[in-house]
Amino acid sequence: MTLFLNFSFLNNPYSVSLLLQGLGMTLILALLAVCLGSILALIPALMRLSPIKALSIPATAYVEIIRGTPMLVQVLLIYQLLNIPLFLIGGIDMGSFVPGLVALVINSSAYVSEIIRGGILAVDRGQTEASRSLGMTQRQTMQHIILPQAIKNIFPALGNEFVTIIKETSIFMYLGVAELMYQVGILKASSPAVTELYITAGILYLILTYPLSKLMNFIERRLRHADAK
Amino acid sequence: MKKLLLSLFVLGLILGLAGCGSSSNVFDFILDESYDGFVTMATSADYAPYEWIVEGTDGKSTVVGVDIEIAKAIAHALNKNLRVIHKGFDFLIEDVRSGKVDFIIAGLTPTPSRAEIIDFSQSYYTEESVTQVVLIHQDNVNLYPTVESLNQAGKRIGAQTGSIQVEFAQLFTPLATHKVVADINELMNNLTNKQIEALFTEGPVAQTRINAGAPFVQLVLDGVDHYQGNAVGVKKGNTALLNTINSVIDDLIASGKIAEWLELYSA
Repeated sequence: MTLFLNFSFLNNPYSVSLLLQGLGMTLILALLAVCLGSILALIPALMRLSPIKALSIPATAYVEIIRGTPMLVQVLLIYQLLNIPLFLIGGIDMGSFVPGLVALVINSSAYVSEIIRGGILAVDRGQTEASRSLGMTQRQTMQHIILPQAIKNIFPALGNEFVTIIKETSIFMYLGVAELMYQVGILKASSPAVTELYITAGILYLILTYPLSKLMNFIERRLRHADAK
Repeated sequence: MKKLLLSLFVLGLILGLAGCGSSSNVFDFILDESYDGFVTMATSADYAPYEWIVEGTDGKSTVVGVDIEIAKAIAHALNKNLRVIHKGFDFLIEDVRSGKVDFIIAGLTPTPSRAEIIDFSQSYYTEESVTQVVLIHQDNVNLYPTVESLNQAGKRIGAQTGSIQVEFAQLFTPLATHKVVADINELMNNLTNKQIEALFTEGPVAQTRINAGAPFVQLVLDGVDHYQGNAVGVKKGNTALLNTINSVIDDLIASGKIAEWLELYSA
């Protein structure tokens, strides 16, 4: 282990372009996973909140299984089960991109559904009682009273999930999806500066995640603005 | 609202993918304009001089190496262009079994358990063309003058997961601790940092590293008589493709091409 670090690969436009392309791919994967995952997450979240056991038990099982198993196992299993033939979109091999994305979306949906459920439960019961006593239906209550308030609770935690997913995308390197760690793997094969490459990759992940958590803090403050009075 | 969001995501996906199109794990080689379609090969391109990724003449990544040259020869024999898919070694056999790709060339050693899942061609590297070596750090040359000297408790010996070298490590250094890792470059890095004492690998792989300036010395491994070399893997029962591949390999060995490529890419 030498202490003299040599970052000379950053002078090479080829290395830099590989790393930046990898960073772009990481961001796209994380964005897609969180957005699609959030939409999908509404289903288990509302199912778990339902008083009907036939709905809440499968949803609980889904969430517990996904949260209780490693992401790597999920990706490998889904790759094995989803046998998508090789075809290209924009030069990207969908045979590995799609199973990877599906695994990430499923994983993200389980976590986000818990965030949504927690956000809804955190809204005071009095709100429901008040709106129901005003003659609103259950659906109207959910849509106009509970969900708008729940979003305030959900949003900051969703930012955390986004940060987590950005980091989780690194396992895609095994599938051959050209995200950041995949590109690091390519550069590592022909460069002795392995320590430096890992440091650079870490900094690039931070560049994605740090502003994001700052942005989430900002949005959270804006949402809480009305509460302060 | 949701439809709008969804269409935005799809738009973002398409734009994003288009933007990233220049960097991918798929490498196309147009061998001849008149050829129709592609034959696809899976590999794990982290294994110089057999297959690894470098900057191409156009500034984009491309994959080069001895195995790629062999694949091009096979593609020529089939009158097709070549498409190379790069992913983790563990996925390759599954990909050819399920028919996602036509064949694998990835320094794959035919083992009985693998032969149950896929069919193998004849070997294209044999003991005569590829030596087996043990790499040590150049600072430790006096400490470990022979392979036997590494056979001590507490010595850490590296080998790549799923490779024949794992068996050699167990055979030649049974007393040592074996560190079996999937990524050969990680093992090379460990050896540079002296996190392992030695690394079992193939001669050309070792030589390419040493030529690139790695601080290693190689000890040649003698008496490796059950080494079966490396072969091309195809889907079980695909005899037509296997016959073509075997005849291409025969030609390449007879014409000395493989030895020539080994020398070219190790330099």
